[in-house]
Amino acid sequence: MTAPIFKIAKRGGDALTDAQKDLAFDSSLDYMIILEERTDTSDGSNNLQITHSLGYIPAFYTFFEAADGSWYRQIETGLGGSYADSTKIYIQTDEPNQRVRTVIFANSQDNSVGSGRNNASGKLRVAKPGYDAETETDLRRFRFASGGGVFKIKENREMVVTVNVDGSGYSDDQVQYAHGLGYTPQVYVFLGGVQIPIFQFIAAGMSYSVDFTVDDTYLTVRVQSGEYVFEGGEEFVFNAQILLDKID
Amino acid sequence: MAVIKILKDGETDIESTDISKFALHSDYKCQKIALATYVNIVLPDGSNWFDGDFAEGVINHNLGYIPIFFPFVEYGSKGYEATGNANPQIELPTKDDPVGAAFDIWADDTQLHITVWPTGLGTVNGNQTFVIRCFFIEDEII
Repeated sequence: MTAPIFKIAKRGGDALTDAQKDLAFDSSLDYMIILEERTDTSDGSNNLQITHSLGYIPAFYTFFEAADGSWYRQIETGLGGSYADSTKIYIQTDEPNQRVRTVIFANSQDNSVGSGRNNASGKLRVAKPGYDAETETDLRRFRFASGGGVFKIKENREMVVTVNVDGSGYSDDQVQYAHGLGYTPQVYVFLGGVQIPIFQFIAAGMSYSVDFTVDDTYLTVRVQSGEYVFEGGEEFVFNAQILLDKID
Repeated sequence: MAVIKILKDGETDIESTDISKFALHSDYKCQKIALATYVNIVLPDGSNWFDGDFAEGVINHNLGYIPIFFPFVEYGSKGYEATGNANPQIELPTKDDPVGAAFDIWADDTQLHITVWPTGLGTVNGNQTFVIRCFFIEDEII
């Protein structure tokens, strides 16, 4: 017997005809199931270890708090960076005693179906094909579970930073967007439209940096460059997905 | 118009205007996984930055638009965080000076493209295999 499919359209939409990507929910797909959201502080040597004890390598996502209270992601991490093994997540911060917001997903990084964990919760649960939502206990056997929820999308936004070079050949440009949420949201920011691939740029020994910060009012994207890296007028296109889920 | 709302565990106010309290709210799209898959990339023995060595790989997603994506780089028994253009840099076995691996990861409307290249002054000792794992979210970023 084919399992029934449960679809929810957004307000004004039609669950029977809307494209799958436009639906609020579709039970025939998997979700990134949030297991835990937590805020920790690194030690005086810029290290933070979070014990998850899952027995597998989970997908996870980190944000770092800046000195001004805004939050950012490391666009480029140093040797080691942030990684997980089957028992812990290891995070290297830019500063000692820095706050880190970590989202740990129940999904393993290889999205495999496992067993042995007792972490499924929530009143709405959708099991993966072949499993029983009423008896399974390991979230890896679920497509969706409402206990910790999943990320919800507020909007997608394109932001373009145009480089302006000063008299000394340096640049520092940013664009802000007022997201209107009144709290600091989770956000994904991707960089596109760079005229020169990043790896070629670095290999050439030249330097520029791109980063973003988010606080309870603004999403800010920024491009800075060293002496005479750019001529001026170059455009950096940032594509952001602003979520309704909180960092802080 | 009916609205379907499901609270997360521990939340009790179904009328809340704080959408972060909901596991599901039909006014907003959840992030749905369109595809979760991987590719192996090998950085060959003897690779070094001075010679411009690099290795490339692709993952076909065939979504027809540039999606949100969550990449991770597995090396050894560790899964490194990366996202979009973020580049985890991973220390590698070396024949001489310290050497690492850096990554560039980007998507177009059909594929995810990954480039890995050696960083630092050293020479890679032995073939180094990286597993690039990626969750593609069913929503266009552009």
